[in-house]
Amino acid sequence: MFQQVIFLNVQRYIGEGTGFLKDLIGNWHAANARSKSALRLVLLGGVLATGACVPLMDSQTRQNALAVRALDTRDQWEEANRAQFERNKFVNDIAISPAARTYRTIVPQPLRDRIDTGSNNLDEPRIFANNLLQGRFDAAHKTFGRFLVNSILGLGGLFDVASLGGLERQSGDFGQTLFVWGFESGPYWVMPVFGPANVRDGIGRIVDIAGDPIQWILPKWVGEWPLTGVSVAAGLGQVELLDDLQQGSVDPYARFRSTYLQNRAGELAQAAGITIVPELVEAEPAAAPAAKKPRGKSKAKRQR
Amino acid sequence: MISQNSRRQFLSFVAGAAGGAFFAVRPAAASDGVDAVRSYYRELAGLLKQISSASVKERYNRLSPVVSRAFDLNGMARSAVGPGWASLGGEQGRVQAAFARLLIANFARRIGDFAGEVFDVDEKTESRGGVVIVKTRISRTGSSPTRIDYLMRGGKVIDLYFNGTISEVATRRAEFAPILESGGPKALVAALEQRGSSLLGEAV
Repeated sequence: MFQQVIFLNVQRYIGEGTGFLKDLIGNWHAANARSKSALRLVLLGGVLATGACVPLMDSQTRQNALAVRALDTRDQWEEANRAQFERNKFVNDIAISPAARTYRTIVPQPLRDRIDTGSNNLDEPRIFANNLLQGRFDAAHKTFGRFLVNSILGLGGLFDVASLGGLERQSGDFGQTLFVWGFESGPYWVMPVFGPANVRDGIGRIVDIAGDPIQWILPKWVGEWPLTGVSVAAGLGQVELLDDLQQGSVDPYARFRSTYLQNRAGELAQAAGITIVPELVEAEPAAAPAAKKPRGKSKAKRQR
Repeated sequence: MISQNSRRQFLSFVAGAAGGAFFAVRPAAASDGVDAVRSYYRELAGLLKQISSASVKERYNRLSPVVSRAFDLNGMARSAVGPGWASLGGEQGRVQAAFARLLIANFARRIGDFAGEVFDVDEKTESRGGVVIVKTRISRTGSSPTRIDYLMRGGKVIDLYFNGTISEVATRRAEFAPILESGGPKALVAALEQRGSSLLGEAV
């Protein structure tokens, strides 16, 4: 039912049959099998070039080591982080949040959705580049397909039609890339303006901004202002989420940190090709309580 | 958004096992969990259409019975406090009541701009011990869907995972721990009640 409803709406917007969209995305998967193999060969050299950073260990040990690193929740700088969090909150409360509320009042929801989706589409080249650097060829393939399908059928990326054909959005940033290459996270770090990160991911963010292919190419064609406008508008749209987190919390700092760390663990696991199942947090586990109690205790520590 | 790669084996990471213990998660047949989430979404979708323009307080009043039926709110409060639950003594009931009020009030505040979202519940579930994970996606036309997974026991929600990774109970536990450490159970009750009142626009 879900797909039917969405496809009917897509037909309304793009005037195409559902079969056409499904076929197109299906053909995309089939027709690119050979190009994927070639891509792997070309990029193997690039990945090997970074091999010096990857610890030499067997696959299972490496996966386990990466999983432990993905769940690293050290907050050694908590005092300074809380102070920076308050400064960020102050700026947010007096300037960013009011601007975001005005934006939400002036710009109707459907238009905000299009701006968000368009902004996401502009991120795809950066995600693609990181997927390649991480050796995630399947993710790179999907990301490339998404960019192509959404840019053409999604009217320049305004509609995420690729998700309907099974091309789900992938994660891909330089912090992840550094993680896959074997770099440790370093302590949890609340960055000025950017907010929650850790040292590795903070550096990754800066590299992502400086190395974003879209920022090199597109301004020459459309100018700086349209891109800046989309970025600012999409950013204001995200502020609502941050306000939500803050307003519903009895300790916003702890909530932001926990939310960031759990989400990040999932993204890092995705980059490393492992799956970390979200923890089962219970005070009194129903089954085998004696065996699970210590685990719950250690998890509680990790979440802090 | 975190998406699953169907080719990869679905592995669980046991956090306590820093040595790297993994165990496989068994796929489960469609169960009471799926039916329960479907029933909850059906009720919710109908209700959201009626209350999207109502005040937060009114939304809270209408949502309370629906959420209370679907969620094991008392169990979630217990889990959010964690191993120190027994030491709360006589404050346990107050913590549970204030926790339920905060969760529903926060939900009531956030669902203000309902815009015809479509709720999709995956038939396939996964089971871990005595619990079942039900995967769902919420989407608006032309936008990337948001994944929300529900952890179910006995047909009731005992936790939910935003994007499949962010546990509501784990996040609440992270919030509660410093308050319990510095001020004890009474401070936690006061913080929960104050936040709940603030969300509902009531005098503190």
